[in-house]
Amino acid sequence: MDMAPVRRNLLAMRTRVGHLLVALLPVLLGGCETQKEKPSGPAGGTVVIAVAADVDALIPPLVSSIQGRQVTDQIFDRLADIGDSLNTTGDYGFRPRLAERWTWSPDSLSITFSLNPLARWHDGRPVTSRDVQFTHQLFQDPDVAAPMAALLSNIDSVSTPDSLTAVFWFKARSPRQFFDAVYNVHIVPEHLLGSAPRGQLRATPFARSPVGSGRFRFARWQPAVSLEVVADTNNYAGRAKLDRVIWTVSPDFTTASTKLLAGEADVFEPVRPEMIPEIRKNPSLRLTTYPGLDYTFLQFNLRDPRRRSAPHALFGDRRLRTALSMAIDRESLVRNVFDTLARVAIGPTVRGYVGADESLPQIRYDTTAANRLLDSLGWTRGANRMRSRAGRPLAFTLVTPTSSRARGRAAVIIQEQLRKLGVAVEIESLDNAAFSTRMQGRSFDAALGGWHLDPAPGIRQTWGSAGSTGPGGNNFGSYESAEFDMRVDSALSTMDPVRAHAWMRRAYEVIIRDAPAVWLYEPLSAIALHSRIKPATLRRDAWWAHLADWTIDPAARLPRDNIGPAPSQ
Amino acid sequence: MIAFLLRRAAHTLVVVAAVATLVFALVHLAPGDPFAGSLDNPNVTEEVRARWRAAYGLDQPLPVQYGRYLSRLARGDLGWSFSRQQPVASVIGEAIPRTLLLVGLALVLAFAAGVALALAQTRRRGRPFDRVASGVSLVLLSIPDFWLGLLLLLAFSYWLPLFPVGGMTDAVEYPYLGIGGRLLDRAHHIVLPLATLVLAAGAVVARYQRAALLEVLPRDYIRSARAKGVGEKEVIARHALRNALMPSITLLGTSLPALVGGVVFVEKVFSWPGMGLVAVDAVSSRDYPLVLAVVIVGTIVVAAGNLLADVLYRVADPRLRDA
Repeated sequence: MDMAPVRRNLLAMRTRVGHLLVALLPVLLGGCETQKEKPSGPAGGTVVIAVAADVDALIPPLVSSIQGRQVTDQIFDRLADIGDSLNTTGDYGFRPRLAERWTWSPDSLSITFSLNPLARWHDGRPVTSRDVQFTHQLFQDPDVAAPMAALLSNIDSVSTPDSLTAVFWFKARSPRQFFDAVYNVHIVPEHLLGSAPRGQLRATPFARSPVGSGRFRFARWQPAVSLEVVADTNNYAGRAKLDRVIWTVSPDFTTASTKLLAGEADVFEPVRPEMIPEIRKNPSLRLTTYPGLDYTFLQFNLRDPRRRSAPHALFGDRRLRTALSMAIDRESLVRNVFDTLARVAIGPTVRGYVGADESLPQIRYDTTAANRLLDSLGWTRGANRMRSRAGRPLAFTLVTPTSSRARGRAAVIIQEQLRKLGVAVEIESLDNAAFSTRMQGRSFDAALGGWHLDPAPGIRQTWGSAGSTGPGGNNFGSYESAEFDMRVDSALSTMDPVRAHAWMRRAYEVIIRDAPAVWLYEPLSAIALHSRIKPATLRRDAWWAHLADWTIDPAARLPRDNIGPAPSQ
Repeated sequence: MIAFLLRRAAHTLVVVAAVATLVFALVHLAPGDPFAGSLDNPNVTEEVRARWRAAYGLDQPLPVQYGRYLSRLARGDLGWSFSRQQPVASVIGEAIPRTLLLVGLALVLAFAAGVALALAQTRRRGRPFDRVASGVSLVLLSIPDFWLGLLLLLAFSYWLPLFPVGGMTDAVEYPYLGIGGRLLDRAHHIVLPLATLVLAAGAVVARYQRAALLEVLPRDYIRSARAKGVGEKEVIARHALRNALMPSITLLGTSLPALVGGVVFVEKVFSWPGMGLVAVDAVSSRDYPLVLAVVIVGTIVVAAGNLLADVLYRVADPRLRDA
């Protein structure tokens, strides 16, 4: 029996009951806070975003989760916003935000930002250069332990010649010094946080009820339940075109996605392949995909997990890594796991980057060559068709996090593909915390890892020698190549974008040739939206970046769109 | 009775202390720590994570951490939740009433429904109704709680959208409703999680109660009652049921821990922000202080359930009162 018409009727009925409640109960019962103000023009409406996890913090220096960024990006402002092209060299494409203009010193070692005199905190106080200076001190204070602190290490100091001028002084010229100064730093109010103990920021009232200068202001937060921001109707940058945005938390993926399919939420991301048929047959939903900034790889540990000074018994040999790379059919893996929602990765980078190079030479899928190479290395097949050498089986453990269903499925496919090559792979699925601990301790043979990148690639930390041995390194596989490091350093310090691109291409060629990992896939960002919503550009690093400019078709508004702006305003 | 209650309270304290110590050791020995996550973000370096650990004293040796924890606990301070970013006492204080509401209602309804079904089955024993009810209750008690919850969610929130998908209240409209509207909204949201727990627990009660009734019915005093002309309804309700309630009272004591366990999954499926959801989040994020608090509360609830069963035994069976 086709339940769709019944479902539609009941949905309409449930919605009508809900609307009736909203409309009548204030009159019948009293005590209801009604909102009389009606937005003019196309402004107005409510967007409900279903998420699987709550925010980790609401004070910008403490935020590290995606959900935390989604919310703080609405409440707080940067000095300037990166352009949709995600250029990180110089200031090309950056748009004024709290700073209405900026000027570079002749030696490029300082940038003077002139603040917008109309900018106000949501409590009515003006935004001043002292807030900017304070924010940078806060981000760089070791007691705060801001995740982004390391990215600001090139900023020497911030001076404040007057209340509307902030001067950033840099230690060295760098192509990304403008990006460093603005992208990772939301300005916070000194008058509300200045007296808070730096190590106790999370315990301040501000952490529960933040005050920013963004186009949305904080409204309410029920931890692990929902969080609401509402339009700041007098904002210097213009009123947000939506009245409110609500993040509703459902820790179970099925529940979160069902909220979207049942019409209780308007936005859901990331969409999994199995959701696509349901979304496509639902006329009130539409699916949008765009290149993301994530990539996933099969990472080999090049060092012995038990004795770090020695190379790994298997993966210390580049030829063996190359043979394994040749035996993995990445096209088929991507099709099986993602259908059309991912592409084969091109290296330790993504296509979403400015000037991404899709023509990088790859280790091709060639099982004949892989078999031949392993034979030549002395790994011969036994009676059970599995390979061994001098009594040692060609076998290893592949760790994968249980939090990623895609990686779990990819692990099974890799296991099967390598079995055909005579390689035994044992899959070890670990919960996120255990997986992270194993990675950070370099205690694994091989792992299915992934990175979510910023617009500026942090490739030194993830694949450079400094990230292998230095403090804070995230190069868990301990790939070390002086040639790669040199080319990356040249690329990241060259002011000329064309030369930088050429250096980076050479660096990628080296690392792809050395095969410290098999570059598996690059998921497309897939977001499902209610069809009444007209989103502004979905920026590749943050689809929510222009949320304040999203609109809702007035003719298609739902009752929840007509609540109006916050009653307190 | 007072001496009995005091003795049980002392036992409970010892059990709580032992369980808290054991869990403290176990969660710290498990791989990972509260700051091991964020691994997809290359900006969160090991250096940053080390600072976070130091800020919360997690860089100290385990005995030192344990000593500090006990010291705080003695002062009534349950610590700071890393994952919820608020005092653990606040997290627990918000979550407990929500779970008590759900579990309390579930317990009452499950026992009422279970006993009523058992009575109905006993009166029609061997007939199709009895067989179907037995089959259904067997299926219900065999299905894991979370699976039953997902089925109800898909059936009544998606295919037949009669109830909300999850949460305790409507994320958009609730703040704008009057008191009556808010009550209706909450009632609307509790139906599916409550139904999941009631179906699962009620099926168990029904099976136990039916078996107990059938065991009592052939007894001499029942035959005597019938011989005196007492009607079948009254025989079952007044004579058989009271004597057959003991297994259900036992079940009450064991159902509470089972419901507390089951509510973990049900709360996750229905995004019900109670202790179950807190427990899941705390364990997956290695939020040590929160895990410990959840375990302590859980232990107390289980002990209270057992105590309640013991008290009810004494109420139902006069022979135990002086024991």
